[in-house]
Amino acid sequence: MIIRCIANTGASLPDDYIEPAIGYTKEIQFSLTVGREYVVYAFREWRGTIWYYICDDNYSYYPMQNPAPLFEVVDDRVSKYWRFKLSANGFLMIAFEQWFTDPDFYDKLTDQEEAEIEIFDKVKELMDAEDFDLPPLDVAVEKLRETVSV
Amino acid sequence: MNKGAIPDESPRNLPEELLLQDAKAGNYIVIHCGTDRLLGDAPRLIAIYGGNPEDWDKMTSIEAF
Repeated sequence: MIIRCIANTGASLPDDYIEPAIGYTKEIQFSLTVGREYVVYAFREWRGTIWYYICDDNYSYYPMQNPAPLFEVVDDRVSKYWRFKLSANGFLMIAFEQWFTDPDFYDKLTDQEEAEIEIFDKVKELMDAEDFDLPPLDVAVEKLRETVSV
Repeated sequence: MNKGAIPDESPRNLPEELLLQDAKAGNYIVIHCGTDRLLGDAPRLIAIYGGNPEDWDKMTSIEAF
């Protein structure tokens, strides 16, 4: 999934995303470049707000969450590495497997723990190079039927 | 708890010093919210500084080096 930045300040955000206590103000300047495309490595939904985890312009070793209204989706095909998790409290998260295998994965990654950094490096490399090209529907189903009938 | 209080890191150069000052001045953003998922370090932080587990968030500066 690839998104393109269309705005990079809090002024462009709907009120649902503004939460000064955690730094999201109307004045905030995000580390994003308008017009630049970013690969989405994970995303979450919480009470109607959607946040993409991307490697923004300050990227060092972990992806950062950024509010969805700052982007337009330019490639809506989803990664084969993604997994889905809906928590009992309604918190929805889509991310690569290792994010869920260890519930503290992101905490450890942002603590700069070596093992988690290595995992994200690998996931990033794979997702950046991910090939989404699929054959047309008719070709794909024909191929499948040939395989099944053999 | 297996660690003591962790002091502020000493800036190694001027950009790091400016970054730290900037974050302390309030130009930060939360990257891990304790109400979404408790920080692994929360027990240590509570033992040293107090508060409840969900009070502790992880923040980063919004400025670049």
